[in-house]
Amino acid sequence: MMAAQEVARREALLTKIAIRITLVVAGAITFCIYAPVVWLGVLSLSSDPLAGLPGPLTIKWYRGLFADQRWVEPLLRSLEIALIVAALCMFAASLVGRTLPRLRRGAPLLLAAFLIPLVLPGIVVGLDIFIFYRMLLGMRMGTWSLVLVHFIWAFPFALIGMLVVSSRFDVRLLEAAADLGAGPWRRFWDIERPLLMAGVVTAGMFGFLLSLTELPRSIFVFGHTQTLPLFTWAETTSRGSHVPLIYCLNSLIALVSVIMSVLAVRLLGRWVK
Amino acid sequence: MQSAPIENTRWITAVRGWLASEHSLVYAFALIWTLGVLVPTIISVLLSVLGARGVHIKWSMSLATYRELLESGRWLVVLRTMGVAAVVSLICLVSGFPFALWLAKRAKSKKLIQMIWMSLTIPFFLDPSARTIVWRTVLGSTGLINAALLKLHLIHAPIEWLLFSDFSVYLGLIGPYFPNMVMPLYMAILLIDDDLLQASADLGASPAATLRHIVIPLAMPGIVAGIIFTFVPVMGDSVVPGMLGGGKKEYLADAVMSLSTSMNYSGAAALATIILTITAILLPLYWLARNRAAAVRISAGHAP
Repeated sequence: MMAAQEVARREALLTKIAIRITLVVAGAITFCIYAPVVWLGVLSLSSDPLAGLPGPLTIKWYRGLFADQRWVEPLLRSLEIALIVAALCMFAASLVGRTLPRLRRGAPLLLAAFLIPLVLPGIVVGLDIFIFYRMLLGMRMGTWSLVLVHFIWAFPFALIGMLVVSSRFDVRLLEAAADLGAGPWRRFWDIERPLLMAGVVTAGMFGFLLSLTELPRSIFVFGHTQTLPLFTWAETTSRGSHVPLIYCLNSLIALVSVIMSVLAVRLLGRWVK
Repeated sequence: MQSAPIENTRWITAVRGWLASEHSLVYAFALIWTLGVLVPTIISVLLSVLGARGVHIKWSMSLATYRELLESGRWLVVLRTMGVAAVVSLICLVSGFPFALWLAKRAKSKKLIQMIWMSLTIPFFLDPSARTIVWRTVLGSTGLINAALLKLHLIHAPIEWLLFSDFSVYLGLIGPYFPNMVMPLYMAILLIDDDLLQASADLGASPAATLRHIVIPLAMPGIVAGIIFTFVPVMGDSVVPGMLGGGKKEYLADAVMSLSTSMNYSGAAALATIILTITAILLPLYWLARNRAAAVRISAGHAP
């Protein structure tokens, strides 16, 4: 009897130790994700951002954003594209997301087809879209090709966000409304729309953020259009002297990303038990 | 003559009904998606055997592109990148599996779980080059770590292998791709019924035996999905190896980009085809794992 108790106690202790190690390792990796982002913010406020230890705090680089305005055009272009992608994601994710859980046949296959871009590396998608639309069809590369590749990247995320909400939607509500004499439009507008709104909004936010920060696919299809990530990429790989400005700009973008994704996840969190 | 309008309206009603039915809209969208996205994303397979001059496609079949790939030694780049992707996936799996297990089965506080989900979601929304370039100022010979260690007199000369080395490439890759591994693992483990784990313990199985015979087989679809979600994108990562590798070694994405910059689109397409082939080989493994997990569930008396 004592032996069994001893074994149980040892197992409990081992489990405890294993959990500790697990959390420390996961914490270390999470640190590797966020330390660079925080450090980006620190450096953007440091008077000597290229030295190892940050110098005294200053906002002179942020003031510099007004002096050197080459980033304005790429930012506006990025915002424009991100808004279009967000709108497309909201539309397509609602269209597909609200129906997919109700399909009797083919739902898993359709879902797999829509989620495939998640497993394809960005450069493969970018290159292949270039080959197909530019080389085969002769399309001009620019804003619309960027919208296309960003949409391909963002739609699976938008769809997942929508499905989190729509897969918990009770179809009987619609049947009840129909029994009470509501037409298709009333059923959609008065019942589905308010209940699925969180999913639609999340789809839009995912689309906006993923488009705003998309780089690997854009590299192949930008033509003469420059987005903010392309601008950042060009500046960072050319080892230019504008790096402090890049830090400022991307600290601000990262701040927007963090705030918006916190909002999106909280919105979805109410549906996930 | 009298029946024509009626025929007409019936036909219109049928079409209208079909168009109004939400199912047809989804199928229509799926068709557009297939023709506009899925077909184009495998077009490199075609181009790699056709060849191209500039942006013009040569309509003649040949394997010259692949011969060139072998002769120029670029296939070594493929192998090296696969090696890096395999190591990153393995590290993410080994550290991510217990974490996902804890998150799905042990973590109690709802707030904490939501916080962790948030911190796993945000990395998807960060600018890849901005968050990578910062590592240079942390790891470089005049960077944060070296400057701090020098100031504390712990070292006398800067540690050189921190940046522009395999170490910095792995470090830069593990963070961003960790969520890709954890999310599918978490989903799969969440689906494992607590009753099964309890039954296993009640029957006298040690935690290790439960892990081996219940948890791992049932989580296998998540493990395979996690590996696919990590391995394939890491193989195609276009930022981290370039920025933190120091240009001493070429990786797959560098090769694809330098080939397409020099307008050798068929060469770039051949490399993309290799990535697509690897993806196509890995994807069926997921269904295999899913079927096996279902079989384990049934044999445990737990119909899915």
